[in-house]
Amino acid sequence: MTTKSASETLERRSGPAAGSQGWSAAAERGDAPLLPSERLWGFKEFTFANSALAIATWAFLIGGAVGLFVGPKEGIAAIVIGNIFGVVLTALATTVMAGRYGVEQFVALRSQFGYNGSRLVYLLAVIVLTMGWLAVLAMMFGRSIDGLTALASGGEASPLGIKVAIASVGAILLTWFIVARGPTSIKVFNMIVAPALVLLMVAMLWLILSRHSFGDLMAMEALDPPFEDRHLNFIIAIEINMAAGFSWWPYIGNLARLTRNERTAFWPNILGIFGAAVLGEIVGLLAAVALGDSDPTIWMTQIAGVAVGVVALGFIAFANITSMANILYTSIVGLRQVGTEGLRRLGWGTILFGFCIIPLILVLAYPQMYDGFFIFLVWTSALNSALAGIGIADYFFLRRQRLDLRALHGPQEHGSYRFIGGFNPIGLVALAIGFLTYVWLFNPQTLDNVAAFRYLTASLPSCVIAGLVHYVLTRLFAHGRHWGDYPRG
Amino acid sequence: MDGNEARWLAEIERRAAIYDAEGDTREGRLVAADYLGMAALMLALTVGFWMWAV
Repeated sequence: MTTKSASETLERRSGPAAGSQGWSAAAERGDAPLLPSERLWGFKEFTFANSALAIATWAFLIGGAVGLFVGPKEGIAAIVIGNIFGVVLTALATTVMAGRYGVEQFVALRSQFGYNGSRLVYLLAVIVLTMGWLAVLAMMFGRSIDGLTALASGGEASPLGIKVAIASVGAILLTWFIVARGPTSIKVFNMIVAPALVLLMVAMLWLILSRHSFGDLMAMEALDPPFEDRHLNFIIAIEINMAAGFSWWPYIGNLARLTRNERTAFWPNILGIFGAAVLGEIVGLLAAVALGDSDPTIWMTQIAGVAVGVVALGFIAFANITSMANILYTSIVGLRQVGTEGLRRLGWGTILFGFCIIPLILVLAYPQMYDGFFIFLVWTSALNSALAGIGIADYFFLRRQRLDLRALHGPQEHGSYRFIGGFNPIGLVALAIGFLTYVWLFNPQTLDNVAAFRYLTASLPSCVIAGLVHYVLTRLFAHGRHWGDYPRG
Repeated sequence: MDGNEARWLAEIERRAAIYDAEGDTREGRLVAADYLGMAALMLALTVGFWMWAV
């Protein structure tokens, strides 16, 4: 955002004589860095907030997908190993600088990719990811409603039928309506749904363990292993979970800027995001393998029976709305920072609706996406893992944990992050090389892989190589004030 | 530069100066022990669960 547009934004909201309240409101929306005194979340509050984000229905889906590749014992190990790497590396790349400077994530990204490069990254990483998740979660809502009505009437569920399509469209429109009313309505939904979802997970775990002993569960086999080589299936399961961990990249930086300091910005991710996601995925994995189907809208009715199943499915259906509202809201807040002045002039509800059009098309034209959603998830890691590597290399090793707040928020056209026309070619080349490294090692579409994938995974090499390329090329070629103003010596 | 722009730049300057003044002295900075803790946690969980499962 240019200085002019930022000041215009402020004036539209707070009037020409903006007082400290007006500046604080603008800072809260990402137009300026939040001061330490304006940041309200401590350790406990941030742990609750990101637990609410992580404890969501997608955890069931990811756990179920892991059960296709490996049995429960290897699956639990893959869930823990993949998520700890993904969450720690993503949190290092995004939350530490946000916790230190209170800066909006995509404003901070100008220091890595240039002021137009950060827009391109937003387009690639946030819009594609969020639109895909909105479609998948809407279809999960639709299938839950379809399963629920089938259970209640004694009929057959039809996952690709018209009822699912109508309910999925309804889910997206309901999400649009909730988010258009502002963050308070989302908070109310979170406060109800997150604790209830924890109770539901514990109840499901208890029901599964009451039917099968822990030993029996651990001895079960994968539902549909793609390869005879168990080690390769295990590494793919780890890769899926790393992708899940890296998939937080677009979201957690902007939550962490509301925390009081670096420690509070980083460590709650381990308890909240990692802990909650692991719990949900393990429930999804055990249920899928024990009951023979990875789709939570199917196994939930099998576990709980008709009466409890109807309640559980109804609840799961609306829990999806909470997840959708959270990611839609976060994405649109980021969009305001990277968007053009013309985009910012559009009303909040209009931008939201525009963002929902592609998910609406996906649920109507490509409902098969739901069954291969983990392929979509793993594709996103090809980008997110490289972004994490570049973020760590730039902030920790090249900038030595120092950001120039004046340059990030001041006029961009002649500032430190001009690079070439607002794009940092070094960061973008590093991103492309990281992406290509990933796809060379492991193709998420076909599961084709090279020998090194069996030992290294794909996300970790992509993260390391993108970071290394960014570091070396920046040291060699990024000289001068308009080339990022990197410290020398 | 109009009045709004000047006021906006002054506000950014004020906020940046607050962070400049704090420097490295602010409480809650991540220190070597935090980074060692992250590495140890990742290593322990990876080795522990790998050995348990494989």
